[in-house]
Amino acid sequence: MPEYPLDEFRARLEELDGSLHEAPSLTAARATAADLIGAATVARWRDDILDGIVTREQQAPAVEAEISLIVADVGVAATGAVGFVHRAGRPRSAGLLPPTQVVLLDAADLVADVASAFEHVGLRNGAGPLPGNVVFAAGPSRTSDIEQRSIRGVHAPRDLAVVIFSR
Amino acid sequence: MSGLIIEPPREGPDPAVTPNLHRASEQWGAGRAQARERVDWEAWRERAREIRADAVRHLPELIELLEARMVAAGGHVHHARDGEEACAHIVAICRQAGATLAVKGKSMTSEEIGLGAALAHAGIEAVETDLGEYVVQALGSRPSHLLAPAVHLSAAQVAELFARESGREFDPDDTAALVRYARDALRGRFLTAGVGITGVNLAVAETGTLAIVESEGNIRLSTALPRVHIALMGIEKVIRDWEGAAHLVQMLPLAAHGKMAAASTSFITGPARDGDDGPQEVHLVLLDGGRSAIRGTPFEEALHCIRCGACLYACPVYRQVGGHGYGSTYSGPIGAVITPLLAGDGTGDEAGDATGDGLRGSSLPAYSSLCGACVEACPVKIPLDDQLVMLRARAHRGDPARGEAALFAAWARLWSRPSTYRATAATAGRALRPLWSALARDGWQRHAPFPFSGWTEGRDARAPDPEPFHVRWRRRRGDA
Repeated sequence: MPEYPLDEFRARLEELDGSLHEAPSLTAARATAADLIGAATVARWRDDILDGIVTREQQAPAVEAEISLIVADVGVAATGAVGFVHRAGRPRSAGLLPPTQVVLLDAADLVADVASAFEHVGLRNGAGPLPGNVVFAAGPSRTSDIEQRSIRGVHAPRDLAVVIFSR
Repeated sequence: MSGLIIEPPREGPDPAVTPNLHRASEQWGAGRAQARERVDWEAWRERAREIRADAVRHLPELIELLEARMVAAGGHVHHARDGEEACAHIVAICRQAGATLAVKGKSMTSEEIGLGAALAHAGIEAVETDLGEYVVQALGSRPSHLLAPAVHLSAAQVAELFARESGREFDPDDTAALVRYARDALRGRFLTAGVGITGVNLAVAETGTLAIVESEGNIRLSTALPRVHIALMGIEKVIRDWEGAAHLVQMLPLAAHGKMAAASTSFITGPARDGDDGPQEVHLVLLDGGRSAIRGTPFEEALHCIRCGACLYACPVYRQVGGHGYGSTYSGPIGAVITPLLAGDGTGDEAGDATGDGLRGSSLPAYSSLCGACVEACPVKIPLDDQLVMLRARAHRGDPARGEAALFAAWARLWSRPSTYRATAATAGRALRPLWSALARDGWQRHAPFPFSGWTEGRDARAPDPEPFHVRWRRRRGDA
């Protein structure tokens, strides 16, 4: 386990063109998210953590929304990735279709490496069914298909902001 | 029918190939070098090799376990002995789903089985959604690299294509605008397709989970929006457990382009459940396609490949000729090894025969300088150079061309002595030059006359130099 997993997580995420915002509390994290979102339209997951960030009028279906507001189940310091377990109230499309993604991450869910992250979200050998769909996203989507010029944002989000908070 | 061997391109070299390829191999090489400083690269390679060796050694039982666990999770598993069967399964699933439009993620295995043609024949439109593949498909071309299918095309060609499609002007230097156009053009397809088709990077047998890595998000969309997801996988991609998965999902991007993680990694265990919005059906089509026959032979390690593409950019031959120069689905050093193996009976003894184009498949191992750069680049330590040498030897064992052997022996005798070399080389050059020049274009001979016609069937040849090197050397030293 590295001594400062948060520093490592930030370094990896920023390398991948994602941004990290630190908040001392959940209330502060919600305020940071609200600042990032402004008046944009939002597709959000159903989770208490996300309450009070956007108004009802701002909310839009995933295909139309400008920003997705979602919660990560895990953060991986070694890779800068955030992991999502898709299930009821946390649909795949909401975190995928809007061009900008704002992700809240509980500091307690930040782990050192990929193997720990799998364990953390229930991807492991042994008894019990696994979650049907788990996605790890390391930075915004990208392509270098045209003359190796790196461009952010192809089919999945172009901008990714992670707001990490302690409780 | 097999899509493994494809006719070599008959047109001259694409001027875009060389600068693009060189830029790509330099960039990716620099990225890899940087990443290797972050991890204990040699220890990581050895661990990756162990995971893949264990998987291939226990392949039948792991495939059985994968199937059982995937079915328990609500998925469907289909076995295909060859490409034709795999295509038939996929067409049948699409028909059953009533789908006429499928969105497709990048998959070399789908190229291997000729899936695009099979779906088109069945009246199912399959749209490639990876940006590079989309361009390659629209231009009627073929992917030229495992991970960078459009590396042989220039931005100007892409801009021209998009302008033709949309009637709008595109600046080739505004890459972001080109990418935005592709995003918008494909978004509607994702929302309306009945089926999403993807490859698989690895499957975890213990839990029946499919892992797919990507950069663009098209795989996530293909496995989120359509009602049915079809995953096509060569049987060798299975691994035992999550410990192995944790290592390989990092090793793959690290070996490919030096990043610690792919932009997205999806882990899929059966269809959507618990109110999740994913596909109602998940089908896995398991392709043998000559793979089982390679197990237990001296070539077994070729099945350890994780398709990272590292050996391609490392290879001086690939960097010169590009992926299309090989005329096969899989190019580069790994392509030169597995193409004759998959096309033959796995032993290499009858390399290429199954395709009805024995020459092509079995001549691929000659596309190497045996410098060993591929072996050093390989994250699972496949001894590609040894395998290339073994395949070369086997291609000539029991060779009925006794005349050819005698000719080479005579040639060796003549050209081993300076006196006989000078006499014959000069004569041959003088005799051949006029005939050769009459048929060549821009100094390149594309269709040489008999008995040299076989040579130019699969490659172009330079016209012989009017003044051999040893003559020029003597002249320059002033003692001619």
